[in-house]
Amino acid sequence: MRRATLGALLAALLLAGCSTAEVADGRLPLCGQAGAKTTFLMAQAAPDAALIPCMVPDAKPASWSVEAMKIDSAGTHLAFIGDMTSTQPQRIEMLFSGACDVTGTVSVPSDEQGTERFEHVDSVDGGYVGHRSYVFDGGCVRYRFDAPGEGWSAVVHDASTLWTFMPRTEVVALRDSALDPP
Amino acid sequence: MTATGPSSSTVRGAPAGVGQHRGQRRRRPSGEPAPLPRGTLQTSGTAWLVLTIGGLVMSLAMLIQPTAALLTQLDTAVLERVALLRADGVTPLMRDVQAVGSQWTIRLLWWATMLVLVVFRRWRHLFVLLISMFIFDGLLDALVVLFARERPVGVEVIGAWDGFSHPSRPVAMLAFALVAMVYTLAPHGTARNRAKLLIIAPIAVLVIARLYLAVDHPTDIVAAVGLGVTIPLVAFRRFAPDELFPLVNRRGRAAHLTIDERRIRAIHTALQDQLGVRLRSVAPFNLEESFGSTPLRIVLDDDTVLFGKLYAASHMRADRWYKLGRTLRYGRLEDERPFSTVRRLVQQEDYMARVMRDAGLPVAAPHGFVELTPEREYLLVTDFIPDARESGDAEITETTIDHALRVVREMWDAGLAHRDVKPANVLVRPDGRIALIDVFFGQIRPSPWRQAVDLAAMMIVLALRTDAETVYQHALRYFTPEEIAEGFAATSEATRPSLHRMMRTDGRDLLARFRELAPPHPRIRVQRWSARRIGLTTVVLIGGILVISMLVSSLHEAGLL
Repeated sequence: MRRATLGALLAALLLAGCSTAEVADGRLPLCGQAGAKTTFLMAQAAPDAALIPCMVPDAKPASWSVEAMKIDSAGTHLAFIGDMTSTQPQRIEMLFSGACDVTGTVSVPSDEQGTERFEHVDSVDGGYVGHRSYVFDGGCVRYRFDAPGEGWSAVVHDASTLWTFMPRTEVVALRDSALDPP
Repeated sequence: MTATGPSSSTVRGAPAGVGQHRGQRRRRPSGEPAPLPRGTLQTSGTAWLVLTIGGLVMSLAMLIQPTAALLTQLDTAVLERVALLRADGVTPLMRDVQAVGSQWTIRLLWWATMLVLVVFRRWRHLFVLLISMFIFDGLLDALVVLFARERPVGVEVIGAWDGFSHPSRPVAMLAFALVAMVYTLAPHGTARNRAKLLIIAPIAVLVIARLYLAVDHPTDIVAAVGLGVTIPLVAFRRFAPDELFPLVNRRGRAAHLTIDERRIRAIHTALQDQLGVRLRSVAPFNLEESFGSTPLRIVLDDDTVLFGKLYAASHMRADRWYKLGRTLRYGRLEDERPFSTVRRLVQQEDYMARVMRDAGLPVAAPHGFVELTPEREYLLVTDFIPDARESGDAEITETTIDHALRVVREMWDAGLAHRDVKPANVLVRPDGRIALIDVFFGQIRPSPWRQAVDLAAMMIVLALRTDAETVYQHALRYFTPEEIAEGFAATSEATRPSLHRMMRTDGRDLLARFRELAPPHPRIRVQRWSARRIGLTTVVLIGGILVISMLVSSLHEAGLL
């Protein structure tokens, strides 16, 4: 009995020892079936958004780790830190909500269908600090970059490659097929 | 100086009756429960555990598609019915009610509970609370991510939510905080039963609001209540049971066990079966002076009065922590080893009392011990010394001084040491002679250093109520000046911390005065830095930092910091 209690306690401690960030890694909003549960929750957080941002599978650089992930009724916030061993790590954030303010930003041609793209540069002194917004029907996604050092252009490129969009209908269809397979 | 004969003062206050009832004793047959069966989860605890396991099975069923679809349909059907009740005037109220489960509410409840536990020094409950919170939060996080369940679909969600829905985190956190409060703040009995009924209200209000706003599925709530109630309930009943760690609403020592009806019945059965005597009454006695056990005054049906000491696993653990603390602070004294079981602890005291009695020392005559719960709780029984007063409160006459020092000499000659000589353990009888109690720390063939410390401790005890010069002059009748000098050279705060506190309160530097009276003697060092002590200190420090950082991280992730 004592051994069983200790065993259960140890198992619970080990389980409890896993941090939220570690378990969140397994629930990243990947495009397709793999991330369907997370992208569906993101869709619920922005109920009128026609597009839902998602991550291209296997496109996340190995040096990037999840710093924070929060999906609530106000929207989605996902933050990555690139190369945590660096003294000046890069931070890339994704914010997804029903709307965002694009005042003071510059409109540029969008690389994502069905969206308008806006850029805003805060600083290019010794790195890159700024944000990029995609505005579409019922929603907005903003990527914030804080990338000190010379390798900032690679970080922006990696983020551009990593993130894309899925139509809301596809996200709902993936959820429905998971719950009620044909 | 030479040793004298035995002091012929062995204390035998009780009639010979205790030993003459062998015929009335009864052997407990195999399979029959002990007088005080081990604490259980009780009916409600078991019911909650079964419900939670059922809930967990239900939750796991959600990982299988057909059952997940079925449960979701059922959930939606319930939420649709609830949504029919929505009204414009009620919705804002329900949104406000959600604050009952907000992070700030939970933080307030959590920190208030912690504060009360610290103020009342309920360290055991505090420790169980922290560990169970750590496990609960980790489990909750893992389940939330494992199920990754969406918010309700098919019904308009009209309230604020955060993250995946299963199990409902706000409901689980509120249930955990309130149940933990009940088990750490409300004493067992009527107060706790009322508190249990009281906490249903806020949980129910939150549940109704969340269902009304359709932010949770009904099954999310069922799983959350199951987890939030069961984890603290099982943790406190299993690791801080009321019979061993009763809640006392005062700042005091928590070492004492509750002498309630259940325990009295068990003592009655144990005394009758194992010692062959019939109990008339039992009551706590002189609790203020007891640190490591629960002392009892036992009255038998033939008016014999006995003294009992109740030892439980909590006392053994307290002894273990005390010795670890001493080892870290002062270094390991050469003869201190923690006990591995309560049985061994109580056997030691009973055996030492018998050895001391056989050596003619004035100790309360032992009658053995009885088992209440195997390996967990025992009652040591000795004679009750009538009309004796603690030496700290009694008049210390020349007879007392002389007898006390003669007793130390007799211990030396018999190759024994008491090791815990202090005013509370040296009783003065009406005839002025002393009796030694609490022989739990006693030792056979102790080191010369231990014997020397016993002498110095007894001289300080006597001088606290008289003066150093008188005690020293009496000591010369039984000990050489060199032996006395050795005693005070060996004594330091590490050897007798409680005596040093008393000397500080007294104001006189008795130790220095005795050292002046005795011939010069080089100090005998007891504080030893060994590889073991360094290693132990390092391990304790690293372990402590690890535990604290894990707990802080857990509290932070749970939103409690």
